[in-house]
Amino acid sequence: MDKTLKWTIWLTPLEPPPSSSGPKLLDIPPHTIVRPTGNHQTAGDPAHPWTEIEYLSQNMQSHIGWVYDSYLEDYLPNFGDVVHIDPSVKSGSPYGPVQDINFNGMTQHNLSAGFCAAYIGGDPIVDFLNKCQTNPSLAFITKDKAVNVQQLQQLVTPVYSYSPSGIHSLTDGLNDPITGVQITSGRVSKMLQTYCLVVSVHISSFGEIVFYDPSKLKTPDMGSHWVVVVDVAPFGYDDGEVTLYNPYPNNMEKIAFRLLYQSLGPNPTGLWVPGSKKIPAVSTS
Amino acid sequence: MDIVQKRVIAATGLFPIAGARSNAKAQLNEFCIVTLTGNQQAVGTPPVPWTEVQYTDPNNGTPVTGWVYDGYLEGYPNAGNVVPIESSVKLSYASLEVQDIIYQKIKQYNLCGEFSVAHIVGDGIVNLLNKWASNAPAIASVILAKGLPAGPDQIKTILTTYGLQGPFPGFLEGLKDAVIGKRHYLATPGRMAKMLQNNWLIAGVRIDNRTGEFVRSGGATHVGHWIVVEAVTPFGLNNGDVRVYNPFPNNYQTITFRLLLESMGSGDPTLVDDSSGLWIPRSLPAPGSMTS
Repeated sequence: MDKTLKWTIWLTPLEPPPSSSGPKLLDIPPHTIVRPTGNHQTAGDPAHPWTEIEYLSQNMQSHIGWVYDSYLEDYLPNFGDVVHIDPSVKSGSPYGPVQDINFNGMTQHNLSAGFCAAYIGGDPIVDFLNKCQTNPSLAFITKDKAVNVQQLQQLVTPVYSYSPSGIHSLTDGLNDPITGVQITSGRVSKMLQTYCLVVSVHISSFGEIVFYDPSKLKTPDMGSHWVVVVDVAPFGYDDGEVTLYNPYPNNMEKIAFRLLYQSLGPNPTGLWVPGSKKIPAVSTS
Repeated sequence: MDIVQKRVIAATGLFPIAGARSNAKAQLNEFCIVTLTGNQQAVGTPPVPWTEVQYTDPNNGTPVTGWVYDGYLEGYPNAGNVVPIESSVKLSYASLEVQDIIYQKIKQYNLCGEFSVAHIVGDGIVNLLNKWASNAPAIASVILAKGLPAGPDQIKTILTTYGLQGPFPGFLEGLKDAVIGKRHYLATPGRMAKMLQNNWLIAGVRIDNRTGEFVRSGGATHVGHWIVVEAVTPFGLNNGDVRVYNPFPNNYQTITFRLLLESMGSGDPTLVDDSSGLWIPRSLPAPGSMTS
């Protein structure tokens, strides 16, 4: 039985069973994730397929009803366990973000930097956070607050014994004595032979890396987020295929270099951390 | 020796000698492609590498040879040749815009529609233009003699040249639902992926006319452009990977589904309509099968 989560492609009427003739229950907003119950019916002449789903409204109230199939598409998240998450701290939400775990008596919503550091060090997330707990200057990581680039450097330096002088800012690492700073696919690819790049990108409310759009600043549609870039294969006019670790689904992803570049925003921010992480294994849920 | 081309990543001069900072023979910018001569020198203290290159300004067609600091050069790894282009019609200099050729004695800047059909029917571009000019001379001659862009009606006449009969449904017509009807929001990754199993989509997008890069809205250098959408792999929520053939570099590219829709709708995916594309049944010869 197909119980793949679905998303609504537009304003979607939630109806009583198609074989009955009651009034519409409510409208589900566009781009909402819903859960099929497993029940299907066909109705009408010619017959059209309908699916029974559960919709959780904003106040977490459950609504069960029927939806004409063409309003639904499969929701295929790229969830993984690249940085191992102990089941005891996992969030109960089937929709993600996977990185939102329960730690220190609260749900953590700002652990992208922590997951990136744990990915670089090869630690399970709970082990990494426990290491941070032993160092008072790193307590900020579990305060559920956004982490800036200075704090990111604080996280990776003592925990994994990096020399601060071996870590470079995104722009310093790409500086050339004659041309200055140029963020190109070729230069980033060359640096990734000996470093990995922890970089701040912008993501949608579903964890997808998106173009920086100033009109969406401080809205739920776009937020800052740390990822680890491990490889770039240049192609075409300053484009190419980027392989990165994204904490939101806790998995590896491949995106276009142009998307990465345009997701950085007006002040590209990141750290080059020694040690290439090229050719990682892709984990799927 | 293989011809090696590189792209210039930022504005710099083309200097008469390695290490020079003045008396540039030509100015290069980030949209230039240069050809390496094979000569290199290390200059300065500490020594830095310089490379001798040849550059041809498209405005006057005159090649100039000189020296560029290596840090301004980067590989250009997609000399696309998906649709065969006979060497006799190729430009005499390297260009990002591979689809620009010399045909009927003029430089053709607007052949994206013709290249898109050539990709679908698997023919070389010169063969396609010759057949079209022979089969539909009244239409083809006007377009080609003046170097004009082909619209949907002209593209249909090229398809007809290859024996393909319409109707070729418009973009939203092909995605119409029996109950919902014809709505912009039916342009979803899943629905398009299903349609592409049995059809090609020639899609109208917007690109930067200097680079061929897909763009979302109307900047001064943003122009309309035809591409072929080959496949969509849905993932996440209303997103996915899209494999396209882009005539500008004459090569394949993978872009995100959202970028495709935004580029088709000039920044607003809700603005797509029937004129945003043409669906061509895949009951046609596969690409390559008719290559001359």
